[in-house]
Amino acid sequence: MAEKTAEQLSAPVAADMNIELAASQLSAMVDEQLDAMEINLALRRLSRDGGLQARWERYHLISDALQGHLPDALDLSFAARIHQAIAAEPLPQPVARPLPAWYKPVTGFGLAASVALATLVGIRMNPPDAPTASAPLVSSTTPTPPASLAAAPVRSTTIPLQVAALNSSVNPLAAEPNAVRLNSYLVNHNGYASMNSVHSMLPYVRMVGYQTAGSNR
Amino acid sequence: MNRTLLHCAVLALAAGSFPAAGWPQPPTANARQWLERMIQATQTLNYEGTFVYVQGPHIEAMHIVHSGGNDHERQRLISLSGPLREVVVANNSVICLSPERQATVAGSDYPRSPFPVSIPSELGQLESHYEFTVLGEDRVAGLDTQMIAIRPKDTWRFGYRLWLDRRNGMVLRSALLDDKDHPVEQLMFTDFQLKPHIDEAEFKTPTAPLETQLPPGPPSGGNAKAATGEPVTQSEWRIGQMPEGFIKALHNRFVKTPGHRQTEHLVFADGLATISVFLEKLDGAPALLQGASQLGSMNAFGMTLDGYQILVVGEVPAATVKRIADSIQHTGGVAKP
Repeated sequence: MAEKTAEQLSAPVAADMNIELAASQLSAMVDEQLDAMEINLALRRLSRDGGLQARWERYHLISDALQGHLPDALDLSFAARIHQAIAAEPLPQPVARPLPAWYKPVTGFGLAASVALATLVGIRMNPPDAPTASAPLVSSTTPTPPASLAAAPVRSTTIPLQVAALNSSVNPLAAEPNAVRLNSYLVNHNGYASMNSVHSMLPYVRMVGYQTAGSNR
Repeated sequence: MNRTLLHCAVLALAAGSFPAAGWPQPPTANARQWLERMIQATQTLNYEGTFVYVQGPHIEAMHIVHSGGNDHERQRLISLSGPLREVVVANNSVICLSPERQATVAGSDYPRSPFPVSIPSELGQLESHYEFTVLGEDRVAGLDTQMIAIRPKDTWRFGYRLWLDRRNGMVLRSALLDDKDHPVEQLMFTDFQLKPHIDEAEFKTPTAPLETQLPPGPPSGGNAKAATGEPVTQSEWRIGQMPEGFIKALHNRFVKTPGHRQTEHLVFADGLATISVFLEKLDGAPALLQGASQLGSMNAFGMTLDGYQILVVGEVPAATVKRIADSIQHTGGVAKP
C-alpha cells in the first residue's frame, strides 16, 4: 500500500488512476475475484506493461507468503531468465525417430491435454507483440519451486512426440507447429459446428472430449 | 377409458407449449415434430445434468449447466474424468479452459457470429437428405424417452439415433452411427434436472482449482478480429464437389498469428453435419496433413496444392472429406467464391 501512495505522489492524475485501477484489478485477479471479461482486459494490459508484470509477480509473492506457500529458496530473476531463454530459443528441435500414428483407433482417441493447451495458446492468444507471448505465463510462476517451472518449456518440446505423426511422411521438423495448427482447426471447426447443427451441444462435447488422452494413454 | 384421457390431459399440461406431444402419436408423422421440440428444448431449457461420452475406445464423464433464453443462451461444460477441461459459452463467446494439471488457459474467446442461414429451423431441408423415424420408447437417466432415428439417404453422411425426453424433447442420449449402424460416438445422461432458474454466477468464473494453476495465458481480446476473420467475397479457390444439401454457412479469411499466413475457412452444413474446409498457404512450411486421418468422431483429409495446405474436416464419413478435398481447384486468379 505504501507503494501505491508513492505512485500517487509522483504520477500525473490520469496515469495514476490508470495504475491504481490496473493494480486493484491485478490484486483481484490474484485473489480470483475477477470475472472472465475483466480478466481479459487485465491480461491485455498485463501483456503490454512491464511494470504491471513486476507487480503481478510481487502480488503472487505476497499471496504465497501469506498462505505459507513459499519455497525454501526463492530466485527472483528466474522469470526474467526464462523469458530470455524463450526469446532466444530456436524453433522446435527435430524429432529423430518415426512416430506412431496419431488419432487412429489403434493408439486410441485423443490428444494430450498438454497439446490442447498449446493449441489454445497458439490460436487464440497471439498478442500483437510476439516476443512477450509467453511472458505472463512464465513470469507469474516465480514464487513456485523451479522444478515445476521448468516443466512448461519441457512440455512444449515433448508435444511433438505425441502428436506429430499424422502421417509418417511429415517432416519431423514441423512436429509441434503441426499439432498446434491442426488443433486450432479442430477448435475452429467445432465452434462453428455448434451453431450449424440441430444437435448444438455435441460439438462442444467433442471439443472437451478430444482434449483428453493425456492422462489416459 | 376416462383414466386414459385424464392421463393424456396431464401429460399435455406438463408439456406446456407443446401440447400435441403429450398425446400418443402416430409414429411416422411426428418424428419431425419431435426434432422441432428437441431444437427448442436444447436452446431454451434451464437444466443441469451429468452424462457419459463414449468415442471409440474412449469414455468420459461430463457435467453440463445450461441456461436458455433468446439470445441469452449460456452453457458450461466440465469434464469430470481425466484432466479438468471446461467450455463456457456465454456473452457471445466461447471460452475453452484446458488446464493441464497446473496450467490454465483462460480468455480464449471464440467469437460466435450469428449464423446466416437458419438451417436447424428448416427441418424440411434436412428431410431431403435424412429420413426421420419414430422408434419405440426407452428410459434414460430414469426418465421416459422417445427414440428417434435419423438415417442418411446417401452415403455421404452419418446417421443418428436420439433419445428425447418425453416431457419436453430434450436430447438425453444420442448416438452417431456409421453406415453399418455401428456407434461412432455416444452420449448419455445419467442425471438430468430441469431448473426454474440458473444463477448467472454459474457461467462466470472458471471452476478450475486456481491454487495449482499458472495464471491465464496472454489475452486474446485484441485478436478477436483475427480469430473471427473477415468474410471472403473473392477467392482463388473453387470446391468442385460438395455433397448435395451442404450449404455454405461461412467463408472467412483469418490470420492465426499476426503477420503470418492467412487461412481461408469455409463451413458447410446440412443441418446435422458440418464440414470445414481450410486453405492455408504453406510458404515453405511442411505440410500439415497428407491423406486421411480420424480425429475423434471427425474425419479429416489433407493434401497440398500449389503450395497450399488443403484440410477438410467434419463429422462425416472418410469418403466424404476425401471427395471434397479431391475436388478443390486453385483457380489462380480471383474468382467469385
